Amino acid sequence: MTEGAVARNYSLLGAALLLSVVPLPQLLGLWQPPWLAVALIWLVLAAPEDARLAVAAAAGLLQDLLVGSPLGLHALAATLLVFLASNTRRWIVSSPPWLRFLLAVLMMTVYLGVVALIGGWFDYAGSWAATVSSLMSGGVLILIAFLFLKV
Amino acid sequence: MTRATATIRSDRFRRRKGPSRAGECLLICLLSFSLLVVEANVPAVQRMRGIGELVNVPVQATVRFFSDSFRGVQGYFHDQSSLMRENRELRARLLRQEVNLQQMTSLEAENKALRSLHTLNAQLGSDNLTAETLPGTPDPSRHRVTLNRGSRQGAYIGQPVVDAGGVVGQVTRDYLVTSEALLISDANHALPVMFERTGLQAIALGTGRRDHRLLLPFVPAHADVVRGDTVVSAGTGGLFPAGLRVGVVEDVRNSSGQAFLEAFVSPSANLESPRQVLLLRSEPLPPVGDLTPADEEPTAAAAAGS
Repeated sequence: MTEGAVARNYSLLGAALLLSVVPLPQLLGLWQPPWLAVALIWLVLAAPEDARLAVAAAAGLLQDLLVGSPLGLHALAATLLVFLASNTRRWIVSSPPWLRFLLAVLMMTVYLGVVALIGGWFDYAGSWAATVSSLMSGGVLILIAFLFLKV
Repeated sequence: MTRATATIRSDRFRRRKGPSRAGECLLICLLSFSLLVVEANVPAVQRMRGIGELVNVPVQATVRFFSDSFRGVQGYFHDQSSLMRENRELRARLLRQEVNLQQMTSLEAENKALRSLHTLNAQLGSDNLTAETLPGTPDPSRHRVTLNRGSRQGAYIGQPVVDAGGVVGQVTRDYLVTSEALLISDANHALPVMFERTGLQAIALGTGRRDHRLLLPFVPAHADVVRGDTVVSAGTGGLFPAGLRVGVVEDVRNSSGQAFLEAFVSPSANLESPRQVLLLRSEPLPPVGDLTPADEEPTAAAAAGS
């Protein structure tokens, strides 16, 4: 991996963080995908060397600061997501597209589930409806990403 | 060919790091979980977080720049006729409001006199803080907004937030230069209110619904509550001054056999997308126990003097 590629991959994470605080109209906002999770899954598949756990944790911590969630919540979820994704990467890469899609959605479910569940313990109540709808739009995004990603 | 070598390389990378990677994951998870626990329990960490929130300032500036310029482009394409119509409407509204304002000054004087009779009512101070909302917390199920005023500008936890329409919410977190406000429609918010027409008191609970309705449970079944009644803050909670507009009764439900009826109130403040708000600097009321002796002492002294 060249320096430029590394910078590009990390700036992708930065863009995902930025996107997660863009104000959207009510209905669109409900369907906002978990940008960070999408970007992290992409990173693991496209550039596994760059998808370090510490980077995921740092990005998650930034996300916590940006959206005002309890510190460490998104860091925890993002670390788990990257760990899961990089350990199942070999299966994902060698499986047919529909299975790839399912696996990616499963990992995002883990991510959003951790945020919703543990966030609930720490007085960060989101609604399950919002979680499910953002999961679906995240799945669609991942599906589109797979069309462009050659792994 | 190149793809094959890349896979092999990444596999080797993983095999070498395999066991330590699980350990690293466990370590980071434990660290972030303990951070969660510590932040929830240690106030000093919450203050440190205020410094971390400074990261937000450039990000929010960027996001705002783009959304504002997008709005600017949108506005450019407004055709002239709609602009003229808007101008006409605004002129008419300005006229109406100027008349209202004239009444307002006399009303304010009258109000002040009345309020001074009621020593309990906290006065709306004049050194209020204007604030604007910042992008953040895009999850629409959480009714919270970020404001561009923090503890350095004088925002404090529990500070009432209002806009031109009425009560918006209260400050729940004060960072250095930003703060977070809980809207009255959040499922965690409750607000003591009063029906303006009848003076009946009630509690307005946030429902967390997307239409921002408030629920007034436990209104006595015989109470005189009809659609269109105005609801104002009662001033009994010690946080919000009395008489601030909260909303209008939209629906009254009275299932027979129930001792209470439920009223739904649609808030009069713009909770959907609040932009300009006012942070009231009402004097925080002392606890009720302290109130009476402190109040009585001067009167006693005055009585002794006379």
